Amino acid sequence: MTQETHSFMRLSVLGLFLLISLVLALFIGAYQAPLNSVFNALILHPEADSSLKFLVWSIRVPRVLLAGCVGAGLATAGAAIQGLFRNPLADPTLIGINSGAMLFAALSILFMGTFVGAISGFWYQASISVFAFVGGVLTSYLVYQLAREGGRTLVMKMLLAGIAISAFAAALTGLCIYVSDDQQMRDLTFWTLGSFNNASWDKLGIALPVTVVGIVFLQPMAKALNSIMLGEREAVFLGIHVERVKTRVIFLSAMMIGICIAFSGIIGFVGLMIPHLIRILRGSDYQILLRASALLGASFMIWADLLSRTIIAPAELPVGILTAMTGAPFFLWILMRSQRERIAI
Amino acid sequence: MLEVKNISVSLGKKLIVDSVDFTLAPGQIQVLIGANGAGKSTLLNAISGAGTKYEGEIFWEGEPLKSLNRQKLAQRRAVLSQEVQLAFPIRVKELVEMGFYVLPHPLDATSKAEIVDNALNEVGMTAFLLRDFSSLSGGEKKRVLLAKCLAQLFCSTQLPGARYLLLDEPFAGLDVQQQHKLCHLLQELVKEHNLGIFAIVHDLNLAAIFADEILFMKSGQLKYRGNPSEVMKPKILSSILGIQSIVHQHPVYGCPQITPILS
Repeated sequence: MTQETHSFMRLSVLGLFLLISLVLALFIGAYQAPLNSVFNALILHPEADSSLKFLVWSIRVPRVLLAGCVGAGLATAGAAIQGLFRNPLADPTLIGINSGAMLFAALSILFMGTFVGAISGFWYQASISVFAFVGGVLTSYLVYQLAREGGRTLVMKMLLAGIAISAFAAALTGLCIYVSDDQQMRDLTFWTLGSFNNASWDKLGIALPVTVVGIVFLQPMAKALNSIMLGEREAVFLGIHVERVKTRVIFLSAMMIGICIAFSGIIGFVGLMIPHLIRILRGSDYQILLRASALLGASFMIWADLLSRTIIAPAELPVGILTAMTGAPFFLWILMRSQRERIAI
Repeated sequence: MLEVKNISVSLGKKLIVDSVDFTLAPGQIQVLIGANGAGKSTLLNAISGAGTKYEGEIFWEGEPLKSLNRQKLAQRRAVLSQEVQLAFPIRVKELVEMGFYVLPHPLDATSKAEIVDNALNEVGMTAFLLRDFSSLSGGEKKRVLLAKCLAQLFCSTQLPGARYLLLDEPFAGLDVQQQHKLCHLLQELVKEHNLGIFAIVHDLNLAAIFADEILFMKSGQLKYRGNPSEVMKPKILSSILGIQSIVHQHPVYGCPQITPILS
């Protein structure tokens, strides 16, 4: 079997898994309906129960698809950032996306609640999303600019600038929390735990194209990211335009992660865990890694969300708690494993 | 032909490389020798086209470096670095295949496999195809990286003219046997493919065996240039490297053999 068909087969297995996850997630939920009536509702059968149709088409479908988008976006961006920073522990936090998004979300909750006053729930939620996106992209842009020197991006400086800016943003977020009232604090806390509770077709209409565009435009960077594994200098010797690649990868990742955070809050560990899992299963070749991470990330998030809305039904467990609860032990396992097999971390 | 014409590189106000002139012909091994801080690595970086800003002109097979596109340059010359720290585990095969990134269009699987196989065969590492790169010894790593350079230089059939290898201290960190094996292997490759080699080497005796021509560099300037028996003389070695030495003739190879002595 040639290499190409081999990698295609491997990707199809992950694709099939995603499809199965998607279908299962549509049929299972807090509201337990017989499978055939859910099926009828899904195919918009004329005799299907109209409230079930509404539940499936207005709530479940956009929610499951949004979870898939967010999982794919976080995992792909995580893989790309790990490659760019040449560090398996790298994640979006490093370039300040999370902390910036969190600060701006806190500001939004505080000001929209306090000063703008009685705005409707929809606008309140929408403003959090917009602010979080702007905050995430702004801080990562700031960190990126701080690390520029004479037309080059110094990765080490970017890392340190990221830590400093994140700490500063966290301090300001702390200040916001200090002056907020109980309800605002609760809103912010829930937002940071992550949830697909507010999924809608409108959000999906933005998240889906952004994620698809991000993944499609990151894919041509695969070879460059592979060669950067050997070091930036080696990549230059291979004729790779390293500076251009850095700018594109950071921009595309910030955009994808910004949208994810905006619509679902902060969901940790996915961007770290999924690319690692693929590395263990399929190796580090970015030509496969990026697409495989997208597929597995989407499946993982769909399952995490499915669990979060059914495990304590009718209540809901924030999905960020679940991903961290599975992610953290998994991460430790990788650490132990890498020590045994002498993989450099 | 690599032509370096009146190259200067400055870092701030300091002149690191000062009006250097030389040419490297295909089939020739040229070795650059100088003390630490003489500007050797800066010179190598400048001619490699890795982004070092320089004044003067560099021509690769008649084409000015400044107007060469990156991929075309990378098909023309490969650089064997002193050390490569991998960020993630990767197989030998995947590493050698990175040489193909210099092509604008992907190769078909058969030619890929063939070129990788040839390259690994040349460096005697065929059996290591599926091994994890980080599990290899220093000498084995060097040979795999060399195979990557060969794949890089010989995957394009479209580019006419000679190919060149730039080596940054190729023998550093290898044991004596590995050093001599690598030296021999590189000489064979030069003969077989009419490669031009430009190398920075610190070991004088290895340099004497290895080189067709030696360039001595001091304070950014090229001071002496010639074949090893012409320029490896106590007086020159003393002025360039600040060492006293006795120079014999090598009993087997006939090249100079240098014995440094404490002054």
